[in-house]
Amino acid sequence: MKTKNIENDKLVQIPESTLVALVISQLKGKILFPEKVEAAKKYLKHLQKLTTV
Amino acid sequence: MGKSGYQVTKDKSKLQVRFVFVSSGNIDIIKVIDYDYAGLHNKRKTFNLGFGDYNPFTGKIDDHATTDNGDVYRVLNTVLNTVPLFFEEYPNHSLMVRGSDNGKEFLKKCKLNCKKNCNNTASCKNRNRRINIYTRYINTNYNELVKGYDFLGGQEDTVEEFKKDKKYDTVFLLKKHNFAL
Repeated sequence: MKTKNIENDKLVQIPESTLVALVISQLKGKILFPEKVEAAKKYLKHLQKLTTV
Repeated sequence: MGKSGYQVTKDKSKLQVRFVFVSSGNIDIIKVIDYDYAGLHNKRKTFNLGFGDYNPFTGKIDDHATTDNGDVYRVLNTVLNTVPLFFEEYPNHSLMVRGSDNGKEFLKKCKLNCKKNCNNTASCKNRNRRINIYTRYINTNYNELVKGYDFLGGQEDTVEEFKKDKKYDTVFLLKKHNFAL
């Protein structure tokens, strides 16, 4: 199979689906919005306290 | 929901559903939509919606980014299109949406680089822009949306049935179950 010769040795072109799969594998298991999640948890706990009072 | 958006790729784990897509506007930007478990609300497991740009160089997400990539409506549609996909996974759970630009930290940061001549932080013109986008969408499409979902509007100490055109910090969504007899 012929491969395309890319002049720039630092950059390669990959299909979008491969890129997305790569990103998903890199991000797997990570909480990406920790501050937002913590703020949401805090808010829900705050609401729970109000309903139990 | 169901309008033209980008194709998304789903990744599900125990306490999270993630969608990744590429925004192909002026430039290509990788975007991530996360639904993270946040706790219980009215005894229902509740997930929080997070959305931001993935920076491949730092490996981090920027959820304050305003990239002006020329495809804002398509991106918004893409985010909204993932809501039914979330409920396909978790039909009995609820979803909460809050802006990333409503906290005190945001106000502090915004004030440092304010270009909109806001006199004080209380009148920050950038504050709550994101939740306002979502509530505006709900207001505009309310009659259609309530056929499939129940909406609740949350403020600091209260959660109530969503009232059109009222300002909320948080919006809760629950899927309606239409049982056929």
